Amino acid sequence: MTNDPEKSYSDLDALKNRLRAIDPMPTTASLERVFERIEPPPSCKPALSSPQAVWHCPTWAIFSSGVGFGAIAATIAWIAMTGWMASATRDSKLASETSVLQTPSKSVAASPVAPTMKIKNTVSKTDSKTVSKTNGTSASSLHSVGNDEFGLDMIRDTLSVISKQQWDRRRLEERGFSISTQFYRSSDRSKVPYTSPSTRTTTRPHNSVWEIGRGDLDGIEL
Amino acid sequence: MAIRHEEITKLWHAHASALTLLARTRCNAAEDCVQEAYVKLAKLEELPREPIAWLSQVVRHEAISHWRSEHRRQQREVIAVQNQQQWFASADSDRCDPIDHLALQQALENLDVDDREILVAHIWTGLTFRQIAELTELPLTQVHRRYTAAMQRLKLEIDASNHSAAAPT
Repeated sequence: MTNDPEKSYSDLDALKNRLRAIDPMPTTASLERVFERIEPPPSCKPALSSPQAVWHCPTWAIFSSGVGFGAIAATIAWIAMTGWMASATRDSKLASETSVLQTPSKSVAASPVAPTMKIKNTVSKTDSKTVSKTNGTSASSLHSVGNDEFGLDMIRDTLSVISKQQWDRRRLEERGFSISTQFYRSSDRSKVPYTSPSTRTTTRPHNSVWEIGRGDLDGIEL
Repeated sequence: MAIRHEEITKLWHAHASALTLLARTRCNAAEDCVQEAYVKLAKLEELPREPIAWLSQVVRHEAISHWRSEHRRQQREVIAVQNQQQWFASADSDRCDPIDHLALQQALENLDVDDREILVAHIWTGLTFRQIAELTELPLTQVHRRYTAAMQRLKLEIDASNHSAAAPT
């Protein structure tokens, strides 16, 4: 290091220029990642004006085409398989009971001659009798009976359970029950039966041994 | 009105590497700091008056935050991990008197962290002394004095490194 301040500064300026000529190591971080973090990629941007906006995203398209069609195909295959198994059982049964079918009788006519669109508890005895009198039952109509029993019936039952739950929930709410808020005893956390809205204010002490807890449909018998 | 992509891209290409270097003076997660700064920039309603100064400020805060968490972790860990990141691109062989980038990195690492930050911010990030004073919250005169002292130490170290490399074995 020199003692001359002028020379020292000029040396430092020269060093500064030499240092400035060296480029910093280029960053390996990508600008695309910055943009991804502030908003989704352009290909996934939903065009809200378009009803098919969600299909613009390739991820959604892959998911929906793969998983969605796969699920539909699996359901169809399952229904077809169960229907085929049922029809095979029916066919074998039919083969053994052909003679019985040809001579109308009460015992046989009631079961295989159920209506094609069978709805549980809606077919009256007179209907089945009327159909049994015609006795023109073919194998195809029997197959469809099998499909109903193993396919449509199952779906219908599922839907009826869901609707019943919704109906019960609505009925409870109309009666003033809050489904999402229940009261717990803070000491043992046991759920306290909650009888009616009118007793809500009277049964709840004010001395902090009660607290509001969050819950859902658990604990409420629907 | 959000900042346009073109402006962010332009600022990225102009300053990203220098800001990464600035972050490296304090922490090992320099690129994360830079990305975080640009994400914050993109979320602004409008461009700051001095974008590079604003970015430097955010990068510095991020680096300090990272350094603190790194430091705490290292204190807990028994084995210290030495991250051998290279700070500079390789020296230009066509230059008559190239500075060995590894020697430069070593010399910078030997400096005090605040001095190193001032040096890098002025030389590679391109901040003025006034901007550095605002960044580091130090008086302008002190920034200049520390910069000069750091440059002299750096020069000594680089010269010593060059002499030892040129000396016959």
